Amino acid sequence: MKTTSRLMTVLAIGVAGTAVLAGCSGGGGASDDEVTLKWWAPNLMPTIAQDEEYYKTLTDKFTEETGIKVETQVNAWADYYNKILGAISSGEGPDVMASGTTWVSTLTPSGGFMQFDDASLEAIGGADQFTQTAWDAAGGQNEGGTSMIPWVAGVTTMFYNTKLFEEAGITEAPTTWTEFLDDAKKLTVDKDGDGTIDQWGFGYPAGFAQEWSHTMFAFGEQNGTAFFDEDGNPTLNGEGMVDAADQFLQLMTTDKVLNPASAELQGMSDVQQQFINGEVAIMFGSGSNTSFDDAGFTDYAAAQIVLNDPLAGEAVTTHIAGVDMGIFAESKHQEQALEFMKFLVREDTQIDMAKNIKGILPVNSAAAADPDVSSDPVFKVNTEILANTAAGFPDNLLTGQAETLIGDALKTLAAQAATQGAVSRADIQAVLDEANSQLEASQ
Amino acid sequence: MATLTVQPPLNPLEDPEHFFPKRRKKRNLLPYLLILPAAIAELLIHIIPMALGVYISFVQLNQVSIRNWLAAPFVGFANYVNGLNPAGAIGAEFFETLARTIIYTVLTVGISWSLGTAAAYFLTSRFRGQAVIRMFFLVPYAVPAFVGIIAWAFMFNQQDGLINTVLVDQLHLLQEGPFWLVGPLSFFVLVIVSVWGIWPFAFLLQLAALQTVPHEVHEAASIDGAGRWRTFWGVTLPMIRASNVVLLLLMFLATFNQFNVPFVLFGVSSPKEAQLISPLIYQFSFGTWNFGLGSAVSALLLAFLVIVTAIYVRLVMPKEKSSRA
Repeated sequence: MKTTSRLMTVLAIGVAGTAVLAGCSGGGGASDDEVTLKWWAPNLMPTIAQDEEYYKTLTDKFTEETGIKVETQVNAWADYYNKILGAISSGEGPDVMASGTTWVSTLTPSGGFMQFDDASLEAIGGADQFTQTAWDAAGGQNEGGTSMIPWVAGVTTMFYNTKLFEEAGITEAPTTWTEFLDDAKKLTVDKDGDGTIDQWGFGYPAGFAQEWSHTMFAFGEQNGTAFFDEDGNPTLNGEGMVDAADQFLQLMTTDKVLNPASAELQGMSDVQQQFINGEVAIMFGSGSNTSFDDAGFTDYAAAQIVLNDPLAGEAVTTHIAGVDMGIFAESKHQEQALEFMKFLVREDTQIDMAKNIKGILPVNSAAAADPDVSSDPVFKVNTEILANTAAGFPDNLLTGQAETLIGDALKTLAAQAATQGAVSRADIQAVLDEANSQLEASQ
Repeated sequence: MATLTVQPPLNPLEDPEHFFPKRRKKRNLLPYLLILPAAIAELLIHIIPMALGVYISFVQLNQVSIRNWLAAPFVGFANYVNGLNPAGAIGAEFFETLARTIIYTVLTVGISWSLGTAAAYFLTSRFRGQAVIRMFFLVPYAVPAFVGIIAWAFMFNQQDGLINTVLVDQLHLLQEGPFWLVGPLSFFVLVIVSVWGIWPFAFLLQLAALQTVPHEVHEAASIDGAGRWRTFWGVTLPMIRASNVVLLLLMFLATFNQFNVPFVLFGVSSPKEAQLISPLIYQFSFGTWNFGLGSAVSALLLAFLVIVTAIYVRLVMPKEKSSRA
């Protein structure tokens, strides 16, 4: 009995000890002479597997040139913001991190990313290699230096089905809202005569809060209201925002060119699939042509998103989307990280990326001007959009919150439009007022 | 030659030292060591994070201060005032959501308990196929939560879902398929899916509890002229009171804190009509990175649940003791 009890005691100590040690593990890696950089890369292709395959070609080339190894981790966008948050708050993260352009104004003040001074800018090839809009959007004008370097830029484009346009007798893509409404109505048909509409003029993920925030940014500006006023105070409930929300919700309620069932769509991929299937004729998307090409769908063309007529505010059709890169402040390999960044923004790498990743625009101005790259029609359209009607998300500490709140507000309104068939201006004003007061309360 | 020596019996008066051997003063460490891993895990996973959560509710923790969160500025009760002020935007939403969560919990627990108890009651009597039915009833509990809820989301889809196809196209009960996952009906979908997930738990526990009720009691009741219903309410239920009390408390707590069902059904942000308190806290903390506020609301939720539980236990437990006497 005594020996059994003693044996049990030893076992118990052993188990307890192992449990504690197991819990305390992590972060004890031995330092090698060989440096391996950790890179959190974005999801730019239709599938993560494709991203991994392509990024490997980039990192292999980099390793060949410099001998520095890179461990890549491709992240889906869904929870990526939270992942970055986790890295910043714990101090444990990669060396080089991708970030969405709309998160820059929220992440920069956290101090989680290394700020670039003249020396480090030189180390990556200088700020002049970038296109001005991309550079500004990444925080190039920040006091104390930017925390992010632009990597790829993107814009939201209007895609339309060329075959369906032909069938409806439409010869040109619409450029104004009036033309767009006209065309969408012509394209909303009951093809098989069973009483239900099976082809809708316009497709939109009305349950996807993030997409709503992008649309409201652009069309709010077109109607004369931005997320914040000049003093940085929230204006989510400004008249221009109400107008913008009204015009889009009417697509579902009065114009009836948008399927009410869209209120349940929570992602772009659903709408892209509808577009490929010929169920919708026009859609707004960023880089959707990659998915179309992937699916072997070719009856599409791209154009700039329409402008309101008359235009009450600014001629903005899209925010400047894209991916920026930052060096994690806690990184122990900042020198090597800078070298990797230099490689990523170099002209030849950017040209290679533009060729392989459809739907994005290079931020390196020389690469953008390269004839080889710019022959793709969608690329041409996007470059023009970026130059003419794209605007960066506001540089305000509350931008991230504004994005969430306006997106959720429109998601709620779209649900109301779908279930009740009508949304009044008063309803819209009420919901936007609430969103705005929540934003004010977060200050 | 071996001689067998027989010791004379010990005399406690003459030889006390050998009769009463010294008892070992050394404590037996074994029980403590056995609980140690569990205690450490509990401390690390539950207690310390809870304490930190309460600490965070008193500071202003957002993206600016998150990097060095231990040094986040102390704001006292500002987060609580913000969250509790019914006139403020956030406070109003908090109270509305709290009320809705209470209604949701009462409905879900009520329906699940009724279904579980009824099923358990009818399955205590032996009949053909009893084992098979019992197995079927346990399936929702065995299926991984995410898988089950996603299947429900597909079924409730307005355009292509099974529910609308059956209601509109096959049974012709409705002209047009209603929206289930957005709009006012979303609350009922939430209740339906929650009940589906938790009623087998009630069923299991009630099954075990009902096994302890002896058959003679039912026979005695029927001899006295009580019908089945009367027997159930007047005799069977009071006999399983102890188990019932625990069951209802567990279900209440689990349902009140429900996060999985709304998150998987509706995504990151729930429709207004189906907003529950846990997803709301998630939205405060991770949607808008206002952790101080999220923690304050969490702490309030904790306080609320502790108070409710304490009242419940006080109301129910003492009667339990008196019934035993």
